[in-house]
Amino acid sequence: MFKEVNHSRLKVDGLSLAAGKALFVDDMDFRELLIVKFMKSPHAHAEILSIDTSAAEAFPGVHAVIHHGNTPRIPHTTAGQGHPEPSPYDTYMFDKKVRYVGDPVAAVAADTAEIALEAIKLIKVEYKELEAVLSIADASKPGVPVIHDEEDSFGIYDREKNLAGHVDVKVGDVEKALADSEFTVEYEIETHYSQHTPIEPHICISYLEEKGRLVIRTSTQVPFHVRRICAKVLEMPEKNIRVVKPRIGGGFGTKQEVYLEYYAGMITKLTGRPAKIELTREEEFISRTRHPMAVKVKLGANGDGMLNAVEMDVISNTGAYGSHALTVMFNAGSKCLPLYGAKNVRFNGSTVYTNLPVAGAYRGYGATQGYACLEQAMDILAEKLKMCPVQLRKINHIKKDETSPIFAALGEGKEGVPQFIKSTALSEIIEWGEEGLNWSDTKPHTEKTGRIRRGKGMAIFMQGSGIPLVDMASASIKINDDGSFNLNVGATDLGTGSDTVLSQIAAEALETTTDNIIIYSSDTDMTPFDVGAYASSTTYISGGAVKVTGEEVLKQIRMVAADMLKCSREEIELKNSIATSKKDGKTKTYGDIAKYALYINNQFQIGYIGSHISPVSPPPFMGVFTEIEVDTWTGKIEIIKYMCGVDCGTAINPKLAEGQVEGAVVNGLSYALTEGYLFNKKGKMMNGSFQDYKIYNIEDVQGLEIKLFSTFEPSGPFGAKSVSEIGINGPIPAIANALYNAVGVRAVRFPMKPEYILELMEK
Amino acid sequence: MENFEFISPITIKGAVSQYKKGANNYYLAGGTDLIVLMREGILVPEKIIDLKTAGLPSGIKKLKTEIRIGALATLSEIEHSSFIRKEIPFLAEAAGKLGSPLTRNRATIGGNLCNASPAADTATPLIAVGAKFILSDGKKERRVKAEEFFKGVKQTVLKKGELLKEIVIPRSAGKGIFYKKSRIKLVDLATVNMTVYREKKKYRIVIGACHITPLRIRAAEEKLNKAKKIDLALINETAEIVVKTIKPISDMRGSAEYRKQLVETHVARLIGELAGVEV
Amino acid sequence: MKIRLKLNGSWREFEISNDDTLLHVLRDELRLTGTKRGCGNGECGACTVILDGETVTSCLVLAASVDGSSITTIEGISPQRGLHPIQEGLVANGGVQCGFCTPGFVVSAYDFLSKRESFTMDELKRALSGNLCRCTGYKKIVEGVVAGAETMGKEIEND
Repeated sequence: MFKEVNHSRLKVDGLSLAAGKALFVDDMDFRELLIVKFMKSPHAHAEILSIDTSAAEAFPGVHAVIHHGNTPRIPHTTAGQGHPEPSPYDTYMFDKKVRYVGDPVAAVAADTAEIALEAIKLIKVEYKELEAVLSIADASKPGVPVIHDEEDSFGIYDREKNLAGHVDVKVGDVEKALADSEFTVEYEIETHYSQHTPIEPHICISYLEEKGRLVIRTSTQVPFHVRRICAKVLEMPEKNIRVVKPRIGGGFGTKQEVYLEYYAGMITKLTGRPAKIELTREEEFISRTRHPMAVKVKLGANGDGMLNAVEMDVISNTGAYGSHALTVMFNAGSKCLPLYGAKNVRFNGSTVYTNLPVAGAYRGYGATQGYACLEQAMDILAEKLKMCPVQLRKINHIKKDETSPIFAALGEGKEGVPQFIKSTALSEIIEWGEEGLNWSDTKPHTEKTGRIRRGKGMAIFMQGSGIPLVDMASASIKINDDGSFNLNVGATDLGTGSDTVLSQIAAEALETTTDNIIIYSSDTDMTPFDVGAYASSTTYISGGAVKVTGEEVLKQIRMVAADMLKCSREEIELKNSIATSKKDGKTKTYGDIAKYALYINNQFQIGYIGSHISPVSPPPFMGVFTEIEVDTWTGKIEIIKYMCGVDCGTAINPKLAEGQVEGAVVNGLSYALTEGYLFNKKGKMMNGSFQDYKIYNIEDVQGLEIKLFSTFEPSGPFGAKSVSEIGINGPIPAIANALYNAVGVRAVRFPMKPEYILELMEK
Repeated sequence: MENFEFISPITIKGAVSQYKKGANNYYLAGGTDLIVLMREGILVPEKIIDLKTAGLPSGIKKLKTEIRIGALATLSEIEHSSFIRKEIPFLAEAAGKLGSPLTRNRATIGGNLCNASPAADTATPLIAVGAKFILSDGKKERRVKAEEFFKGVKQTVLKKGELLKEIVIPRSAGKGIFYKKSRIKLVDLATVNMTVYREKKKYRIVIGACHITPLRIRAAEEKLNKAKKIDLALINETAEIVVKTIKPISDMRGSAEYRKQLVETHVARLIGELAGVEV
Repeated sequence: MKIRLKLNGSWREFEISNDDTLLHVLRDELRLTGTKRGCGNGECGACTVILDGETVTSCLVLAASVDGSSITTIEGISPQRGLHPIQEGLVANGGVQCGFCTPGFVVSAYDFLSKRESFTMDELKRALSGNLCRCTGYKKIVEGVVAGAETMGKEIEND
């Protein structure tokens, strides 16, 4: 059906990446480059009484020392979201107060990193230590210190209670429906801190171009938001800033944060010299993290298993600053609750400040945390109902042409938009998993004995595709003499393969081949606007922009071809870079057409800039079926099989789409089973290295079976929906359900380390 | 890293005399631990003395009654040595489970031992097999038993400047099993590690990462060595003695309690395997 | 101090500082930027190079200690034009996403495959276990290296 999309074309940047020739931020040379290092707070909560940088400034090789006393004080958010951001403006380049261990106190720019670090030792800071808030439970207790008591921050829901954000949304009457239900379940869990750990840590280099404008070359997911936020914080007009994203080494949400670029920009502004900031791995761990959440779910159903009521209470911990504070919490509800068709739904969410590392966007974005509880609660309900958990999902999950009131009630930090499901393969996925795992043979844990016990678990999921009526993307396409096309997009390829996917969409729309598309992306001077790579939006939203742009360019090609071939536009057939007149069979290549338009007659540049927003955010769906082994002596969980079926509409590039799911799943497995932060009593993260914070390596991956289920989403480019985030939601609930099936215990804290499993079994 | 003097001595004697010239000098073997500590500013050496040029032995030698492993032999060499794999397979396994292959290609057994981490992977098999370490101060050599080498966390019997030169392992027909538990399959420090060794019906039990040094549990060994018959009950009693003897700490790799549970389970399993008793 | 290295086949002499790591010399001084810095502690494998026939994390090697050694970086493995079969296999099988870890994986796989005619999957995975990737989930990296190995005429044994 398709010629270019839905085929696994080779990654357009694959050759240079594999050869090690592709240029990342740090792979270009800059003369007179300054290295910037941070002096970081040793306290979780303290006031800075005085700061003396004179010795550091006098240190040979030091070129600038910046701190709260000599930089502009502009309240902003680092969240890297669209304007106006739904996150509170509670962050400053530097403040007189520090709010977590690692909060920047000063930055030193020097000729070398060693000099900068030496100079930092010479800065004298007098702190007044304040009581620190180190848990969700403590954050809103009466009498606890107020973390954001500064006067000029705004958008904070209730600063006295350390509440960054809050929402309470009701549809129907949940209380009554719960009271009326024959069966009810109440279940509560708390998810944990974790970090994205892109192999390339955050890095940026800023410099002045020949006209004196500031250029920031940065490892970001959101170049246009970087420009806007830097302009604000640096008090510069946007026109004087250019942001360029070269190849970047993974992001997963953490590079949606805009919080290094303005420090580098400040140094360049002050010194006129290029400045580089590269986080160490240890710093990366306390850069931005996943919001830990306490999630409580109540379900009510009658004997037939139909859900009457679903209630979800969430308290999210945003750490010291409210980056994505409101929206990640909202998404725990908005991405989970529409999955089931209860008429009575309530979502009550709060986000609290603590004096712990700052949370932010992380693949899954709240859905991961919400599903960790919801999908365990569904299994508990099934058990109460004496119903197969698969059957319970089958009768309750949202189906084609159905809607959920939650779509309209909960959006991105505000109300959402109503929408109906127009594409779903969830039913087929569930059947595939049921069969593949021999679900009918599943025995309850009470029938299992012996040291090693096997258990099966399943869970189902949905996510979204971009933020409806908010996310905007655009693309420009122009033809070249030889019939090739320049495709310029604001969209950000952070390793996902979006440059390839967008090239394929352009080729399909333009009736040409992908190798005729020359893509250039993510450069605020050169490419049209795009919100950036987040909210699973790139294929769906940016892809939509490329498609409409391609179609407009195709119209122009048709027009010129008709002129050349002396026939009507309707008589022109366009295929494989050739225009054929149906009248007489004569042909012109795209090269002929381009040259004609550029040089011969009625000259003009065939080209167009198109934009796209979507009124809906069609969810991709996923079913996970897993079988595990639990060693009852050591508590160790071993994955025997992990089946994961995903409906992402049309997979524009099946191989890359599979890769997105596999990467998300393995990240999720590692998050579910090994990753976690260890804090000391003063709120300092103690395991900030790959030696102490373990992520999966190649030997830890086994039993994965990933399958894409094709559907056609009418609102998406060539039927596509999103794919990149959903996979990470699966491991916690699916494995937790399998754990219960194996040994009869329920995990409420994470990761599910062997030690914790033993502890649960001993209770 | 702070700058330091880099010295490439050509004899052991030269290395030792350089070392003794200051209070803050360090020997460099593989460097996989040393450089991390220097990078983090935990160690600020005045001199780094490269042992590779100093004539410290590096290979694995098979003699009639003993095996000699040079202090500079890398973990990879030991892991892949067909000879070690055949004769002391549990040492090859321990070496092969230390860090990643990239680390093992560089890290040396001498470095692993002299670092004296309670979790050093090569320590428990060497203690169990009755290895001796040849130490040199550039003039004289002395031999110490592996189990007497460790004195505490990062502490050994080495005198100032003294070097671990060679490891001597008696050739014997004993059988041993190494076990290591880490948080992911491999490429991690040990939560616990251990070797149980049996030779002529005599057992040696050595537990790592559960005390300030790797620890030989003699009381437990005696229990087994004195018994006429080893059965499940005796193994469980032995495991209990082991657990009572160790004093693990709680850290990010596991709590003290969990370490005890791991040791109890696995020491019993290892003894059972060697004794031919189903555990 | 001065050191001599046989770098990607040719002998070269460099002025280095005692505290320079091999990674620093390769990446920051010689600007062989295919070798990446991901952690600086020998724990991610992005800086893998072959040193005297063995793969090492170049961030944990003091340049001063490898005077006279032979070093192969990703630049020494990539042909002038096109790709090595391992690189081709990785690209064709989706084993490259962001590509930041890829040079390290290629170096590890190259060293592993060039030393044997046949291997088991367990051996291969063991050889790559010092290289971390956060994008792919590793499955397609394994498939890619296996495809490369087949092109190179290597045999895969059962585990």
